[in-house]
Amino acid sequence: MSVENAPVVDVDEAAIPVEKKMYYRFESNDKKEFRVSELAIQQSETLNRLVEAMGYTSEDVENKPAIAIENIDGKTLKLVFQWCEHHKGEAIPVDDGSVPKIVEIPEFDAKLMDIDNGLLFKLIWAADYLNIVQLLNVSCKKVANMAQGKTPAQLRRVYLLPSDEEDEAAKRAAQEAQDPRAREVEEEFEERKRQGGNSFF
Amino acid sequence: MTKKQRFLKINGIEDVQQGLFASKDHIAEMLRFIGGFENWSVLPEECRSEVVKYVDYKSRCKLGVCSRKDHETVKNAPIYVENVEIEESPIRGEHKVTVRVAFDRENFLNQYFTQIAVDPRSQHLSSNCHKKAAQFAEKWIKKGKFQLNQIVIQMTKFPFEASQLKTLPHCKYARFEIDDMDSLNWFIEKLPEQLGYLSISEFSRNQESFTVSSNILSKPQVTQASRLNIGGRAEFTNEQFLRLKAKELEFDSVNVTAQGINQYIKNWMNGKGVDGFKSLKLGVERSFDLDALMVGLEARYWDEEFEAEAPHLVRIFRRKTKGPCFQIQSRGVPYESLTLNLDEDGVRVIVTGFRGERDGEPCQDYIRQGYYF
Repeated sequence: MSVENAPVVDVDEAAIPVEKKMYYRFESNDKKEFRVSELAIQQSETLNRLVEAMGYTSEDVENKPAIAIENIDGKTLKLVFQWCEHHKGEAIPVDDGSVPKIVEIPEFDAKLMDIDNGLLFKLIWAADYLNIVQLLNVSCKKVANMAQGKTPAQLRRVYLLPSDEEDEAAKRAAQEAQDPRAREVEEEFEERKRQGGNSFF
Repeated sequence: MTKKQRFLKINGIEDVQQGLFASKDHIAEMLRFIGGFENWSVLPEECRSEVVKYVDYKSRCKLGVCSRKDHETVKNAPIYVENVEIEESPIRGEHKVTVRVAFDRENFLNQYFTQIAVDPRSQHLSSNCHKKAAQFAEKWIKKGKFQLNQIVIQMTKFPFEASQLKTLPHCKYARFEIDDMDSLNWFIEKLPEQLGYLSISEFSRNQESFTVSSNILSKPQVTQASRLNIGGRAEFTNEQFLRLKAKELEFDSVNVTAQGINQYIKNWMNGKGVDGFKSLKLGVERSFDLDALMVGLEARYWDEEFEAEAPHLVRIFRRKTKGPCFQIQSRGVPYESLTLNLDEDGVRVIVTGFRGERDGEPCQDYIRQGYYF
């Protein structure tokens, strides 16, 4: 079992002599282990609830097995925890459903997300699964930036969207399922295509 | 890999398109070049929806026609709607209502609703196309989570009876050109109490009959608006007038008297007026008693000496009015003054003097452009 030292924390220990910092151990599905500070974990609602429910002491953290995160691999988890450590202590944005969502991608995040699209996909998925609101925001913003100003043909290439034939197959499947909602979507979509995508609804 | 190398490889995309090469490597290379995200279709729906929230309207439209799944994602994602305008255009034999929905300065859509009138001379106020237009506008307001910033209604009557609209809590700018007072009353109640701008005027431009009642004028949306423009008669009483919070205010007065205006100016002079006050333009149907208007005001008549002191300011006023002008100094704020002007159109009270500096010493300076005319 390898131990990843991904979340490097630059802390002046002398400056905080009283409070003993607690680190939790997590293990990815490919058996990579990470030590993550308690404060960084707070960025993830899912993990924060998990560790609160477990009620581990410092001794438990060292003596018990690392907490397994079975559906995220080590490469992705490393990015997630790097992000959490960098942004630890920051306020977690509350999604009150308001629009527009104004999100700027900080330099650190931009560098962190300078990765291939496969890994970016996993990062978004992990941010969603672990409920890390701001990481989900910046990663989704990055994907959204790919779509801005592109034609439908370009979007099909960028997002590898299904061809008309594949869409036809989906349509037939929907009709076969006799789902009234699918028929409604189908009708709307055909109307939109006829309009050429210049307006919506 | 350098940009040039990438570009050279991308030349091979034509080969890919012709079916000569279709390897995964080529596709991956192309996606890297164009910044692609090939996992889009397998992202969880909530993530796809999150992504679409950051995409502008035009790009959403294009994404929405790519596939059925994308159509659904785009349709369900909220979008910020900044401004909604509903404008009626009576054309011979036809009712036409235009709804303009703006997402930002560059992204907007116009939708037209028309209906042939059975009788071209008919003046049915609430035709079917009015209702459809209102429903369309409301659908977008709802899609924008009711966070609309501006609303403009230019109609004889808004079909509010069938409306589902409850409130527009974020609206800051509202302009109503509307004949029906019930529609106006209904709409104003949907607005927040602190408006940045409120404009009310008649749609049919028949100024003889258009009067905004004291009932509507007493609403906080009116009394607390920062800028208030009523393009018609307003039945403000003196008490209501003196409680207005508008920094810029314009209306045709029915009930405000010379004593009311006199008190308004005194309040400003003594530092008890509206904070940041800029201008008041009051249309009047009868001439005011100048003596009653000037009681207790330390006013300086614009004589030759003043004209020499503030030639730009005098020129601005003389281009617009032949009536007498007076300069009134603030007691609360040094070097600040306003101009009181009367003519046959009404009364203007405009802050025109402010603190300047000459040779390192503070002095009175005057506006050089006629912003408030």
